[in-house]
Amino acid sequence: MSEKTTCIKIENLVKTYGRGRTRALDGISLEIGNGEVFGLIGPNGAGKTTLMGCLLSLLRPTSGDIHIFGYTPDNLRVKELSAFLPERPNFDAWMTARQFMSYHHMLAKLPHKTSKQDVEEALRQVELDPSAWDRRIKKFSRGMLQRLGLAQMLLGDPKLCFLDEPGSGMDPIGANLLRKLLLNWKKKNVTVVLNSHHLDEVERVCDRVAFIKGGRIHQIEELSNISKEEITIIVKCSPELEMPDDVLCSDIAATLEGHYFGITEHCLRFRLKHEKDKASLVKALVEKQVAVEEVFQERRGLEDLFIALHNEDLRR
Amino acid sequence: MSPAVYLFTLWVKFSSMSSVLGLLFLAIGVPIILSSVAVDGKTADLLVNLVNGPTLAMAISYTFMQDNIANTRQMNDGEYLSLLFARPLTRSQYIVSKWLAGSTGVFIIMMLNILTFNTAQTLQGRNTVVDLNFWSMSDLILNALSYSALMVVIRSFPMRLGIAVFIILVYASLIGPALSFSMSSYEGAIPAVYMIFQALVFISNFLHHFVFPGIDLFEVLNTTRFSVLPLVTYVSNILMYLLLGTVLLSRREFSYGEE
Ligand SMILES: Nc1ncnc2c1ncn2[C@@H]1O[C@H](COP(=O)(O)OP(=O)(O)O)[C@@H](O)[C@H]1O
Ligand SMILES: [Mg+2]
Repeated sequence: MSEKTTCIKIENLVKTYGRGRTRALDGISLEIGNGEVFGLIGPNGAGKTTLMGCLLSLLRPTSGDIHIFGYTPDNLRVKELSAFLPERPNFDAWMTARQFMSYHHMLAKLPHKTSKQDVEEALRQVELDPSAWDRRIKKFSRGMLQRLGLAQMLLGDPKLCFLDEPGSGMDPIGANLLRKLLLNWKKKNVTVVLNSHHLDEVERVCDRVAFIKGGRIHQIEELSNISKEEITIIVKCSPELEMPDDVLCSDIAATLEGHYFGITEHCLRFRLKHEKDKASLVKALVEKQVAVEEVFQERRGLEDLFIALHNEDLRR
Repeated sequence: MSPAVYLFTLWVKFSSMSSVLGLLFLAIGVPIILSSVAVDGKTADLLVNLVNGPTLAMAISYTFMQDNIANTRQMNDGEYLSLLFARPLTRSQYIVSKWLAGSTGVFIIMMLNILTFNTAQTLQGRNTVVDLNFWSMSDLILNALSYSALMVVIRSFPMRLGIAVFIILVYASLIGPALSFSMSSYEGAIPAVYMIFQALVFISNFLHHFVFPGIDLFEVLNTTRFSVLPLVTYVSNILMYLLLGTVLLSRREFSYGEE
């Protein structure tokens, strides 16, 4: 791949609410490359939506600079090139899906000639059933609304997409569609900024993720650095019997070049380099008289990083 | 100016039965009622003034602006405006589009209103009707533009303040003609009452001249000593209102958590 040019440049961004009472963003500096799929991950109240609001010039930064394609965010050129899915969209419920899309086609200043065709193409891409195209939005189910939200993003082939918690409350089919669209954008070299506290869908498509909390970026991870091989093993022990001690578990993990996280509610949590070590781990535990009841497995990914970061924070 | 916002603002009025009925009431119901309550020539004159004057125009304009310029919380709108302003649309384009749409709406409804009123008057055999000629038509258009500019500002205020100001303006616009009408029959009455009347008329006139940016084109163009002052006042009033609306909207931040 060719050298990436900068799409979004954020320098020392601070945003306070209520005359400085809430410091929602506390000095964010960040560069996002053209064609990069960038995840912003953090708990509720971390400042993700606020950051996105500043990028879209819906909010005025208290201090700091933002440049997108070399322009300030309120430049209409930037808006012509971008698409946005709000966290809590509110559509004109009295319109039909088709009318709503045509309205946004017009708002996006796209040529009237191609309106019908563009609208239908977008609705088809989000797999909204054609029988619903001329139905009023107020009769839409949650899943259909999510599709419509994604559809309005597709108008005009944006070069930059902002999605605020798109996956929250999505059913598996919707999540699948979202993933498909994200991959499609990635293929077309569209820059994507995605807010999420739900990690699954992000994990598979993001090039990088930033962990944001309390208005600061704590860590930026390149996802290619995270081995896809690594897995998390959760071992549930019988509550009637005595729990194994931490030293023992850490030792066992160490022999397998793994890591032991500790115990919560009778569950031991391990991380292993390879899936094939799972059997060895269980064997070793049983040999040391640990009352293993059940074994679960999770793919090691952002979830763990997230939890690790969170715990680290609590300890501080 | 954004054609999308302009068309949307007019179109949204046909989105629900209640808003269509509301407009029909203003366009047809009100003039029929007015025409049927006239008892003599004098009342009829008063009603002609009312149909001609700013009150109805303001009410219509207010209705057209209803779909939210800046007081979003009332609509529980989530991130409605967030999505809108993520599109290539500046806040001043938005204000201007709302203003032109409101003006168009006022013009159409007022035309219907006047035609209905005149028809109703004629059917009842009265000859006091609203004159429709070049001058009154241009006044209608010019006033539609100026009242809508005023309503853009009022709709940019926080919800409650906006309603309060609107009510005061409607009251002021109603009380002027009503008072001068009744004053003529009170001329011999107790001086104190008369003075209160005069004070109220004065306040109402004051508001008329400084808040309602109305214009009478015939008077401006056909006086012996032509003066550009009324034209300048008219134009600068509208510009000021639009600017104020834009400033108020630009100060706004859009987020769902907004206070
Ligand atoms: N309009 C607002 N007024 C006051 N405080 C706000 C506003 N919007 C967000 N906040 C506060 O700013 C912080 C960050 O919020 P937000 O950006 O919505 O976080 P996230 O999207 O990560 O959940 C929170 O503490 C929130 O309460
Ligand atoms: Mg949020």
